[in-house]
Amino acid sequence: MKNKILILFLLCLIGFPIISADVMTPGFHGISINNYITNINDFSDYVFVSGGGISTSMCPLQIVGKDGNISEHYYKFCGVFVYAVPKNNFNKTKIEEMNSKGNINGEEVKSYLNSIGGKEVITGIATYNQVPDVSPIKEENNYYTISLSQVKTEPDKVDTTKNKLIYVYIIVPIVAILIIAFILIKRRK
Amino acid sequence: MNSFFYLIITILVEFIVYIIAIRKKAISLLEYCILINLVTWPLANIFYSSFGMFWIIEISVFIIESILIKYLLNINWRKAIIISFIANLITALIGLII
Repeated sequence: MKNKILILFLLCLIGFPIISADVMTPGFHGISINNYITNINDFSDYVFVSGGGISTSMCPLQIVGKDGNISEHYYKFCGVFVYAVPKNNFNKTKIEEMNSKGNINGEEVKSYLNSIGGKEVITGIATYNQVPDVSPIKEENNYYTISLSQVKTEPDKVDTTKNKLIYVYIIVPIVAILIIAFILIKRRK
Repeated sequence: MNSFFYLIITILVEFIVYIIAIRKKAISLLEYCILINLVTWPLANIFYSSFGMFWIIEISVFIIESILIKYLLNINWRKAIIISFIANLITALIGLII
C-alpha cells in the first residue's frame, strides 16, 4: 500500500508540471494568430507546405492556400515552419502518407522536404498566444513577405484586432471619479 | 469565471465591512461602496494584467480607497484606514484563494 502511495506521489510530481505547462495561466485567455504569405503568387512554380516540430499527428503537413493563408490548425507548441517545394517534385500522396502515419517528427519531415529540393522560407510561426483577460487584443494577423534565399523568423507586418472591453475598464473609473467629485462638491455647498 | 463575478464579490464583501464598521443608511453605504470599487477595481485589473505585482497593486488600492472612504463616508482618517485595510485584506485573500 505504501509503495502504491509513493508511486502515485512520484507520478503526481512528474505529471503536474507537464499538465500545468499546457493549461491557461489564470487571468489570461487564448487568442488565435492568423499567418499569411503576402507574395505567394510570385512563386507559381512552387507549392508551399506547412508543418511543425512535434509529430505529424499533432502538427500535420498542410498545403498553404493560394490566398497565402497558413493553416492555424496546429497544436500550440508546434513551432510551425513553411517550405517552398518545386511543383515538379511535389508528391501529395507522400504528404498524406506522412500525415496518416502520425509518428513522423519535425526533423524527419524537414529532411524529406529538403531531399525533394524544398527550401525553408519561414520558421517558428506562432499560431496561438495568451493575453491578459483585460487585454484589448482579440486576434492577431501576421503577414510574411518571403524570398527563397532567406528563412523568415519574424513577420514583416503584424495587425491586431482589438475589442472594446479595455475602454470600458478606463471609462468606468473616470465616470465614477466624476460622480464622487460631484457628490463631494454638492455636499460642501 | 467571469471577471465581473469577482467585482460583485468584492463589492459585497466590502459592503459588509462598511455596514459593520459604520452605522449609516445601508443604501447610501452600498452606493458609495459601488462607486469606490468602480474607481479602483477596473484600474487594479488593468495594472495587474499588465505588470503583475499583486501586493503593490493591493496596497495602492488600499490607499486610494482609504481616501475615498474618508471623504465619501465623512469619517476620520483612522477609521477610514482601518475599514479600507480590513475590506481590502479580505478581498485580497479571497482573490488569492479563488
